[in-house]
Amino acid sequence: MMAQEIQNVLQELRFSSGLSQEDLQKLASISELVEVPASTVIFSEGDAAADLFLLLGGRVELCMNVPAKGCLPVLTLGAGDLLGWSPALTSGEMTATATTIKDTSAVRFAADKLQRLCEQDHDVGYEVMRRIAIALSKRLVATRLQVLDVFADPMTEGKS
Amino acid sequence: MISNASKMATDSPRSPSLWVPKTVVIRKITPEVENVATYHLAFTDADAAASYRFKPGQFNMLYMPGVGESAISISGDPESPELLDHTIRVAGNVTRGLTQLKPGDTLGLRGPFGSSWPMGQCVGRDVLLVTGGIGLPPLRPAIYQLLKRRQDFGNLHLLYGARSPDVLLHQNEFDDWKRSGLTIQKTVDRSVFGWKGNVGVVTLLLERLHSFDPSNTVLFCCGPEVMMRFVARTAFDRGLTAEQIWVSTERNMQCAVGLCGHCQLGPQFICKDGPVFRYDQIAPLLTVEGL
Ligand SMILES: Cc1cc2nc3c(=O)[nH]c(=O)nc-3n(C[C@H](O)[C@H](O)[C@H](O)COP(=O)(O)OP(=O)(O)OC[C@H]3O[C@@H](n4cnc5c(N)ncnc54)[C@H](O)[C@@H]3O)c2cc1C
Repeated sequence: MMAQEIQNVLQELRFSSGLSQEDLQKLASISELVEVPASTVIFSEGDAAADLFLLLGGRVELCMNVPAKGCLPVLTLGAGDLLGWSPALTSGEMTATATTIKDTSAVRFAADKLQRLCEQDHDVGYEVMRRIAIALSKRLVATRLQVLDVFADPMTEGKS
Repeated sequence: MISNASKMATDSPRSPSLWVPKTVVIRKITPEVENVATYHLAFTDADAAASYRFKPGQFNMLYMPGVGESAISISGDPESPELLDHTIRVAGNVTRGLTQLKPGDTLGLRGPFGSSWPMGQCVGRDVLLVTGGIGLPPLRPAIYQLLKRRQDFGNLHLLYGARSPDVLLHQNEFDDWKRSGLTIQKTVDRSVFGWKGNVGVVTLLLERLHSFDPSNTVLFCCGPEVMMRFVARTAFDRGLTAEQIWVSTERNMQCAVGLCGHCQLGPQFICKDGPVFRYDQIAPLLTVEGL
C-alpha cells in the first residue's frame, strides 16, 4: 500500500516524473514517506551522509556554519526539490545543516540502498544519476547568479 | 510593431512638447530602503495635470537644472495621475542630486514615454510578475491595475527577489496586495542571521511555482538583464513560450524620442520601441556582448 502510494507521489514529482512504472516501483520499494515538523534539524553539517530526500511540501533551510557567528542560511528548498544529494554520490560528510522552516513532507531514500540499486540496475541508475545531474546543474546556475550579485547597489558596489 | 505600443503617437519626435520639460513640484518623499526613495510629484500647471495620463510600464525623463536628465519609470497608480510616483535608486549624477531636494522643490519632467505592459493580454489568464531589486517599481502600476479588476484575471503571482532582506521594496503594501488577491513570494540572494524567508535566486521560485496554467499564462519580468534571461529560460522549462513573456529593458537614455541613438539595442530604440518588449522581439539582442 505504502509502496504504491509512494509510486504515485514519485510520478507527480518534477524529479521523477516520466520514469517508467517499473523504475518508479523500484524506487518506491527503497523509500518511505516522512512528515517532518517545523524547526526540526534533518541533518547537520559534518554528519555522515545517510539519506536523500525529495520534498513534497513545506520548506527547508540549508545553512552553513560561520565561525563565531552561527549558521547562515544559504538556500531554501521547497516542493519538488532534492535535499541531501551528496549521499547518493559519495559517502562523506554533509556540507550544510538542513532545518525545516515549515512542516515538511518528503520521500526519503536511504542512500546506501539507492546506491546499491543504481549499481545493480544501470538503467534505473542512469536515470537517477541523470536527474540528480540536472537538479545540480540548475542549482549551480542559480548559485552563479547569486555570485554575480546582479542586484548590487551601484553606489556601494566594490566597497563591501 | 507590437500591440503594447502606447507611445505618444500624436506627437512626432520633433514636436516641441516632447522636448520641453514641464515643471513638477515634489509633494512628498518617501524613503524606501537605503539609497532608494519614492518621489511623489505634481504638475504646477493645471492644464498639464489635467491632460497627463500614463500606462503601466511607461517612464518619464526627470530633469534637474544644472545637473542633467534621467529616465525613471512611473511607479504609482495610473488611475491617480495627479500624484506621480517615481521610485528612484541613487546611481549617478541626477539621482544623487535628487537626494538633496526636499518637498516643495521643483523639477522638470518630460513624458510619459515608451511602451507599456500589455494589460489586455492578462484578461482571462494567469499572470506571473517576476521581478528583482529596483525592478519592482516599474511593475507596481500593473499590480494596481490587476488588483482593481481582480475578477478579470486568473491566478496572480508576484515572485520578487532582492539582494538582502533589508532592501526589499514596497513591503508596507504587501499585506494589502495579498488581501486583494495577489500571491506573493519573496526571496533574497544573501540572507542574514535570523531571516526565515526564502534564500536563493528568484528563478528558483518560478521553478517551484504551482497553481498556474502554462498554456494560459502571461509573464511580466523586470530586473537586471541577466536575471531576466534566466527567468525566461526557467519559464520555457515550465512550458511558456517567448510570446507569453514580456520584459522591461534599460539602457542609458538621452532624448527619449528615438533620435539620439543612446539607448539603441540593435535595431530597437529602448525609449520608443521599449522599454517593454515581448521576449521573442528582444531575446537575440540580450546575449550580444557589448550591445
Ligand atoms: C526606461 C528606463 C526606466 C528606468 N526606471 C528607473 C526607475 O524607475 N528607478 C531608477 O532608480 N532607475 C531607473 N532607470 C535607470 C536610470 O535611468 C539610470 O540609473 C540613470 O543613469 C540614472 O541617472 P544618473 O544621472 O543619476 O546616473 P548617471 O550619471 O547616468 O550614472 C548611472 C550609471 O550609468 C553609467 N553611465 C552613465 N552614462 C553612461 C553611458 N553613456 N554609457 C554607459 N554607462 C553610462 C554610470 O557609469 C553609472 O554607473 C531607468 C532607466 C530606463 C532606461
